[in-house]
Amino acid sequence: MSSQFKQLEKLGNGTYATVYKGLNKTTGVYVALKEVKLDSEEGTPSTAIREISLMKELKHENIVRLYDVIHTENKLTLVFEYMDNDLKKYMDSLTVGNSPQGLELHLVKYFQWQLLEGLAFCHANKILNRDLKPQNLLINKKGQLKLGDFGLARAFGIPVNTFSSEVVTLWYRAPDVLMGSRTYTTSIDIWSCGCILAEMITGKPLFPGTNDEEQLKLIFEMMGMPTEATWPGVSQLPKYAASSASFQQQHPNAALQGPKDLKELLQVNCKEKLDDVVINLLHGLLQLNPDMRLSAKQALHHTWFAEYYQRPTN
Amino acid sequence: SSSEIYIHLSSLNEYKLEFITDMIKKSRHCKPDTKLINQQPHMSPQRTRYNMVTFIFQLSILNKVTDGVFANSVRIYDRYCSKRIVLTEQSKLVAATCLWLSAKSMGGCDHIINDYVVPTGGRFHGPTPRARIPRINDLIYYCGGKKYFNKSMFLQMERHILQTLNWEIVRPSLSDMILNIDENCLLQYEWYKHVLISN
Repeated sequence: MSSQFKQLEKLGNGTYATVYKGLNKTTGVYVALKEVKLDSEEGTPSTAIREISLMKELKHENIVRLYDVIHTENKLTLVFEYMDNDLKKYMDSLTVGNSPQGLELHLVKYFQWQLLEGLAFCHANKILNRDLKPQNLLINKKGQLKLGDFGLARAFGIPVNTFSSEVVTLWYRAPDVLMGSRTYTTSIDIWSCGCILAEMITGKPLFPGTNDEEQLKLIFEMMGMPTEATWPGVSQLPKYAASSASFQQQHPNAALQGPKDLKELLQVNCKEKLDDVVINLLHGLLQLNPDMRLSAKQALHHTWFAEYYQRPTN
Repeated sequence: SSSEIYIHLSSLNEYKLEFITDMIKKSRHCKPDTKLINQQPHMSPQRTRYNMVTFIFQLSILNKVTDGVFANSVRIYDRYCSKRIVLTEQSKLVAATCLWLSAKSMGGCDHIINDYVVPTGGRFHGPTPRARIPRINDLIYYCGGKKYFNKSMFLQMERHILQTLNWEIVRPSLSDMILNIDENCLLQYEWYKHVLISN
């Protein structure tokens, strides 16, 4: 097996897998090699079977390709398309001094379009990503963006109380999920897309919470506290009562309970002038009520993307 | 609550046509080939199929796997038999590994997303029961014990089947369609009602 690929430097260390850069000796093409150690009781992990089985079929230009699987007695290696960078690292690299910078708006639009294209394809194939975040969006020098890492690294085990320094991030997690909803669906990925869009504009994460409670608090402070009127069924979610009570306690003045003006807030950290069209899209993605959120398909038809879908194809 | 499930169904509905087209396409692509199965030199279906299916059925009861796992195991077995020769003395190993793979493809922890539903050893609270994955030692026991098969044979067979089927284990089949038709799905009925009333 290993004769076909030359293993180069380590790219990352997940809790369940290690990723190396690799070189295909026959073609001279770089690949990403993801290695998973196998357990002799469990055999091939059920998540690996599912993910590989699904990803092999998932061929789209905005989704990282799984080229091959090398399966030996004690190791499972997934051979992925190699990408130069990820969105997180790219945004970090733009930081001037201590202040993060947003991307230029035309680039934001191009990335967001590709993100939604890839996501619409996943959803049409009955696949939820569930873990969209800038670290998982891979980019290359041509400006292409691809969804990578289909929760593979984390899906192999249970990422609660990970002992590694890498904390499972909550920043892109939808409020319905944070409040304990059991029937999450495609809408949870849409929420993440909204958070990522805002982050690309300003360079700063929109809701940088450190735990479930704080995460919900940040979301409610900006978007307002949901009620039965704005989100039927919300009060039945397991953690609604607790989060609502603590929110009321911290913000006794109803006038300050939000929602806040997103445009104003984002404009502070954005050099270019934001228009209402992009803010409208952002509102469509960041609806508290999952039922009200746009679908990936609908978002692609938003006016903000008019220049892409109006362009004649071929 | 069922309102959450309505929301779930209605958002899925937008992709319904794509789902069905895709399911039919994938299911056709992974169809067992009866002509080739009939050519099995040691395991002709006329003589052995009844026993094999019964064996897989018994295994799925003994291992308490969820609905659908049995049907998918038989399908994996048939697809494997369409491609490889099965030896009589290994037939139980092949069948049990098919069940193992089928259970894995439907079970395990993949619902970890908030700490409310984390099934870390505890029970899964979601809308669907979590499929139990049989343990390798149990499978060895039900296949006649250690004098016939050991762990490494199961692991090897698992790799072999995955390779043979090109990792295409999670594939839609008739049983998925049957579980999805309206008569079997009360929720779907409730949802239609819900939509009719709200319009």
